[in-house]
Amino acid sequence: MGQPIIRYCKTDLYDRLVDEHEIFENYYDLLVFLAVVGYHENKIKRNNFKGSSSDGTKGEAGLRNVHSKELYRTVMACLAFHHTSDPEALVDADTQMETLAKYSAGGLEVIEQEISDVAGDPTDAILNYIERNQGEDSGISGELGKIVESFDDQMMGFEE
Amino acid sequence: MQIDRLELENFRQFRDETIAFATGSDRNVTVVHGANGSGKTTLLNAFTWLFYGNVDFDTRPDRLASEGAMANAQPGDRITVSVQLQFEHEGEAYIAQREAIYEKRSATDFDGEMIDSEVTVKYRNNGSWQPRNNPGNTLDQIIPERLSGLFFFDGEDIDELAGIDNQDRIQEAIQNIMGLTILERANRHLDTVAGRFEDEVDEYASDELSELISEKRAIEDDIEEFKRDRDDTQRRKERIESEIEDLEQKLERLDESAALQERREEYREDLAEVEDRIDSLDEDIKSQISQNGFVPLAMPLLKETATELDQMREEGVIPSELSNSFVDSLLDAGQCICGRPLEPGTDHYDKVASMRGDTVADGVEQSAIRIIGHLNEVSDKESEFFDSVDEIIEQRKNLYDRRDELEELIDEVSSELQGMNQTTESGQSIGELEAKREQKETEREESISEIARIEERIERKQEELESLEEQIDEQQDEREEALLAKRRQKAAELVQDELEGSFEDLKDQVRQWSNKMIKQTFDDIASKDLTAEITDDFELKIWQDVGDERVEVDKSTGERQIASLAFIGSLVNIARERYESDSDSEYFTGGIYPLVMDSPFGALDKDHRRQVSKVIPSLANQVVVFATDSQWEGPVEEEMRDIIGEQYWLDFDSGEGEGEYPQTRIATEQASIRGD
Repeated sequence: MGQPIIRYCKTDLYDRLVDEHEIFENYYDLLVFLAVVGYHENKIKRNNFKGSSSDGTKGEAGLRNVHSKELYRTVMACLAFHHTSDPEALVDADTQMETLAKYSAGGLEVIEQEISDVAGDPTDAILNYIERNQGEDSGISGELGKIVESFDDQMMGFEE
Repeated sequence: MQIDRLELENFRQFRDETIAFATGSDRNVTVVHGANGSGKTTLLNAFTWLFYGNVDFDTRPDRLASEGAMANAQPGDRITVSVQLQFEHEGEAYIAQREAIYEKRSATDFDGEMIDSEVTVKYRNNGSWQPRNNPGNTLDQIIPERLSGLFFFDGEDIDELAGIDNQDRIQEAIQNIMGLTILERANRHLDTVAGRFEDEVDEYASDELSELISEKRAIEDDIEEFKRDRDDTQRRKERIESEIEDLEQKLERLDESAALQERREEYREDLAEVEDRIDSLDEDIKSQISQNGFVPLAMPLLKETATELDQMREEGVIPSELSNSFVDSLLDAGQCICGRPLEPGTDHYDKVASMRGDTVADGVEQSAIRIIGHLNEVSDKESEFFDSVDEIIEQRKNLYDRRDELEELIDEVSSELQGMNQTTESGQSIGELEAKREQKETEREESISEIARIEERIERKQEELESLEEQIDEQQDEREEALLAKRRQKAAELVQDELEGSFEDLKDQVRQWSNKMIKQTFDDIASKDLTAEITDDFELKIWQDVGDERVEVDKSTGERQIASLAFIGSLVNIARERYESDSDSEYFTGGIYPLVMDSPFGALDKDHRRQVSKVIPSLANQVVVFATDSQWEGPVEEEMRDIIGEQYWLDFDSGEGEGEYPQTRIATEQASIRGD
């Protein structure tokens, strides 16, 4: 049996950012990036998010590739959980793959719009986007710090 | 091929003359001496006229028949002009002849009107001469017209070969020498065949399909036209660059401007370095974006998820137990989810290990723990990302400033040069030279933009073409005949693609062979610190070692002419080697060719003439050289004396007197002419 495949919408943006300007090393790096953009902008595509062969936008990525990075695995789980509000989504690969593709298709439209006026290399435009949209509260502090600690300690049995 | 004997009748100023060529292996050179205007170039033209019916005369290009013969004829008389060549080719003896009949129209008509012409080729078969049915084709197969420039060689063209436009000519020459263009011909034929099948598809096609095919053809024409434009602009750009180089070399040589020009060069080098560093920083930014660019945007997602999971934990939806397999995976990885190392023997390791127990709660819980556990890591990565990107951006900004500064300094040098009034040898002031250079620089930039614009257009048209081709493929409502023709068209295109690939590979192979031979020939004759090569882009370049650096030698120097000759010689040699080699090659069969050269010494100085004389005998099995006395005397004569098999002198009589007309006789003795 072959490995699970994520089917996603792959427009010319992938050629431009990965092949032409090499801003992202792999198609799947861009796929995940676009998915977090989609999440950030609250843009999700519920239809046609897998691309279509009629307009040449059919993209495929091996789940194993995406899982090669631990953090990508986490992002996929979080997106699926966020989307479904069901803890089971944290371990359901099919839901995660589909959710990733849906958010990614949403993010794709945002980034396409973002760099539509850039004639040449859009690296700086992408960087500006990231800087402009980073979370206000960087770092783990306050309530979240406590959560981390409590999870750590409680789960690991280090509670005093 | 070995040429034996050339006979001329009423061909321009030659009334009835014969040359027998040297055919020995040691003495393979035939020399024809002649003053300027005595008929050397006419002799070269006799070959091209015989083989292809073409002539290229500077004066009176339409007059082929001898002026004397025409003058002595009466109106209505016919004069026969003829060139005959006896030669051997692949073991068979041949006689080729081209004849043209001219009729004199009036008493003052010295050109005549051609009323008939014929070419015949006979070959010796079992002791008798048999005619070839298709003489023109036979001759073109023996020495194809496209190769004629290589084997019937005008020394005046040598500069062109070594000049700036040489790329195409060198490529063309290499292409021509290879198996006598079989591949190229096949390619052309396939193109025609594919076109014919497309016509057939068109004939049986629906209106819609027919329309798509005409659209496709229109786009193909557009692409061809754009490509021609691009190549023209590319050549223009190269010419401008060469002019800029010339101007800068002038500025370098002049005492008054040398220092400024040198300073400009230094600034340019600095600028190039700065630009390289900027590129490298851009790469770093890309790498950061690719690896961690998603992190800042993912951070809120992870936080949100963590908060919700915590809520669930509190509500008891997620139990607080761990599975054995998860604990094992942490121990194997040597790191706890809190980031602390897990080394066997430590308290922390033992504590984690002791959590393995009876409760098994796989899946959801572990995933939740992973997410929470990653929060710290993600937070660190986010800071790292911004820290390193900020640092790179800062460095890049400094480099941008430096770049602006250098550009300004370069502009200042130009302004300073433009203000200099000292006059140079060419009569122009330094200021004028620099202003011209600036103007050329602008033209160069314009041509670069123009090329980019055309490339973009080509790309767009290619996309349109691809989409049309897809639409054509998808058309289903065709008749059987159209489908069959379409399949055949596809097959022809496929074979064409394959052949093109082989052709390119072979061309590069020949370039490499040729390069090797040029290097050898050049090493033997040129100064020690010079090397010649044909670059990957098919440019003939000569390099000089200056200290640790290698600089390109200026064009139009003797070395370049020698390299050009060495290049031609290398091709003749490659063709010969391929012909004699046992190895089978489907496409590249090679051949043995003579070399007929008009004034190969051009305007070279003595030293270079000597060097060229050394190269000439090695260029081909059989060499025919036309030269003036001033080109011949001295070093050339000394070097070539021992390898000359036959020698002739062109005795030209300009026919100034009453009833006299220009005529050249070919004599075997110099003394007899001088004595006449």
